[in-house]
Amino acid sequence: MSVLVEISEFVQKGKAKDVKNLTQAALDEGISAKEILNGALIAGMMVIGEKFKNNEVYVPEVLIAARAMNRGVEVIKPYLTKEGVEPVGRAVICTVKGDLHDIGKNLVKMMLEGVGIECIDLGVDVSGEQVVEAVKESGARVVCLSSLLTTTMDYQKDIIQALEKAYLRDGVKVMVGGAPLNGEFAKSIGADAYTKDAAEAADVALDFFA
Amino acid sequence: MYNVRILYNGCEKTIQADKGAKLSEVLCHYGISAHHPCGGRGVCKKCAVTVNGKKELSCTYRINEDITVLIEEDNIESVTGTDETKTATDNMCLCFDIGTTTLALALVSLDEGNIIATVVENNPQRAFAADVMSRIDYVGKNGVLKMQQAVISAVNSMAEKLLKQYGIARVEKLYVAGNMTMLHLFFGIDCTGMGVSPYEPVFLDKKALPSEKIGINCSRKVISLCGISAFVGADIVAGLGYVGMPEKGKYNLLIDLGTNAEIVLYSENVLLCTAAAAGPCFEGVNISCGMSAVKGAVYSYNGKLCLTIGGGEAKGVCATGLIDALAVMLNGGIVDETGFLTDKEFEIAKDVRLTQEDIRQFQLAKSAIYSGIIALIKKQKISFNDIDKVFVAGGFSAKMNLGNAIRVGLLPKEVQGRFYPVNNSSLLGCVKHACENNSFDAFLKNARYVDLAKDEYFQNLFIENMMFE
Repeated sequence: MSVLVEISEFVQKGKAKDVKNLTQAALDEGISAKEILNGALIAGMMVIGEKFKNNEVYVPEVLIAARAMNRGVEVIKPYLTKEGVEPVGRAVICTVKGDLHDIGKNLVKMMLEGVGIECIDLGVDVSGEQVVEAVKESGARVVCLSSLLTTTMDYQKDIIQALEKAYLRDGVKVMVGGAPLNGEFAKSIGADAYTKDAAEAADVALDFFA
Repeated sequence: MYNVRILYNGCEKTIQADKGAKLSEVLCHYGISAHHPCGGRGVCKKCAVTVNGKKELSCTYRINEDITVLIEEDNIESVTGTDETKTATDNMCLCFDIGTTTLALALVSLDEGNIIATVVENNPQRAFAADVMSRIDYVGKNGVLKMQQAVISAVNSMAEKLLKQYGIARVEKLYVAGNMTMLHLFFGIDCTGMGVSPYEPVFLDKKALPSEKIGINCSRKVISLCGISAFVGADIVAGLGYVGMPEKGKYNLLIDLGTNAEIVLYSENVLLCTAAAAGPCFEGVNISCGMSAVKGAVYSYNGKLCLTIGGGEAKGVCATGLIDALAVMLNGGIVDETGFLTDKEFEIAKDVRLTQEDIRQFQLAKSAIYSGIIALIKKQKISFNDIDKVFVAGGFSAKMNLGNAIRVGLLPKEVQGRFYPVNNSSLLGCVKHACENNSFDAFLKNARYVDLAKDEYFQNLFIENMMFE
């Protein structure tokens, strides 16, 4: 079995220590950081994403696999910069104002990172102004908004309006998600996409960057 | 060391106990526990067992020889601990703990400072919505009135059951503790502010008003305890009052296990509190064979011996049984350190099985609680050595096998030997408040709420602690 396949399997199993050690070994063998990232770390995470979409694995597996992947990314990070590897794209991600439940948001972030998208994570309880500021600063072309409570989902609309006011709306795709939402709601507040889970969010975001 | 042979619902096991150990604590440590509505004061007689052929109260009996203990089936009856020798005096009050799931009302003698009888019932508000957040959501859509009426009529009928036996028409005071949402609903006050950040309750301070104002007919006055924040309410303040301050220079931890697990780290000078979103898996929700701790639930399991509430056929597994089963699976290598289940399913009893998804649900819950504890300790920049006592409260805490709770990573192993289960600390604290006229202000002056979602450590801790050791 090639070392890349082995790393990918350890990512899927969430064996963080093994991922870290094997990633270092792969570098020592002379495999490029980019190859390890795409061929092993992201590849492993994509398998988990696919399984998650098919309900074969659940939230904890994704978190555990992402944790393992990150151990590997930490090892290759300095080499990625050296090799001049650019991310697929940049996305601003946050849980909207009034909502402090952010496991869903973290999951989406992990899955986006799992397909090679760089995430600017604004955290929880985020306002329209903060999103506008982050988009301006980073040049992100995708904005992901999460809301887990019926009491806070309307704030997603406020953020879209803030982007419009700042004349940034045309330059970004806005994706929304969260338990109480659906496609109809997304349309009604003027979002570009609703995704029902983190794996779908990663697919849709990739399409936006294509 | 003495041998304690336990006969329980047709099962038998022998355990070891230290000389002088309290029988109730020994039993509880091995996952067998009676209700102690009186808080182990030897008053309610609810925990009576047969020791070497003689009736004894397990909460007062000390082990000083090899013994055989016969434990009758758990019978959940609503009125407990009725003491017929007591006569009505004027100096009685009622203490009411409004739990999201369960209501508990105690008739208390202020002269003697103890509980005379207790009534426990399900919270009728569950018919509207199960957890705190969905009840707030319900109020946002339908108003507060129906929820208030449900709890008020419940306490009135519970009080009637209690008072009738003593020929009392009504008492002077009804003391009330509960989380802030439950107290808002009780007083008929809009709680929707607690459903959205910045999570503001209308009130946190103590309330005292004439009972008739809210339709209470069992007392003249209603008095509630104060809370700390939207998520650390009067139930926790009562619990703190009950368990008390640590010795000088030390810290105590109070952990109230539930859907929202409240965690408090405190000393004489500091009080950090938080609420960790554990989710409803301890109530049996989201676990394929999960159920609450009622008849037929597996509450104790060691790989061979499987004990159910009521002693009959196993119908499902409740929180304590789930913890035990996971410990067995981890010890047997059936579940690896990432939580991966090597078999397709794990059978605890006939038709009671755990699946991979069940284990994942449990990982989320246990990590939320464990990480919340660690986050507070890190925030205060102390170590486990600085901790004097760890009080574990919540419906199932007294019946939980602490060793197994540590094994599955729900509680930190570093404080092993310093755990103290407290049953309904909210009710007991409310009783203490009534008897000692102590409003526990010492805990309030330093109180600070830590928001885990915004905490610098919590997110990473949460993912790391999902693992098993």
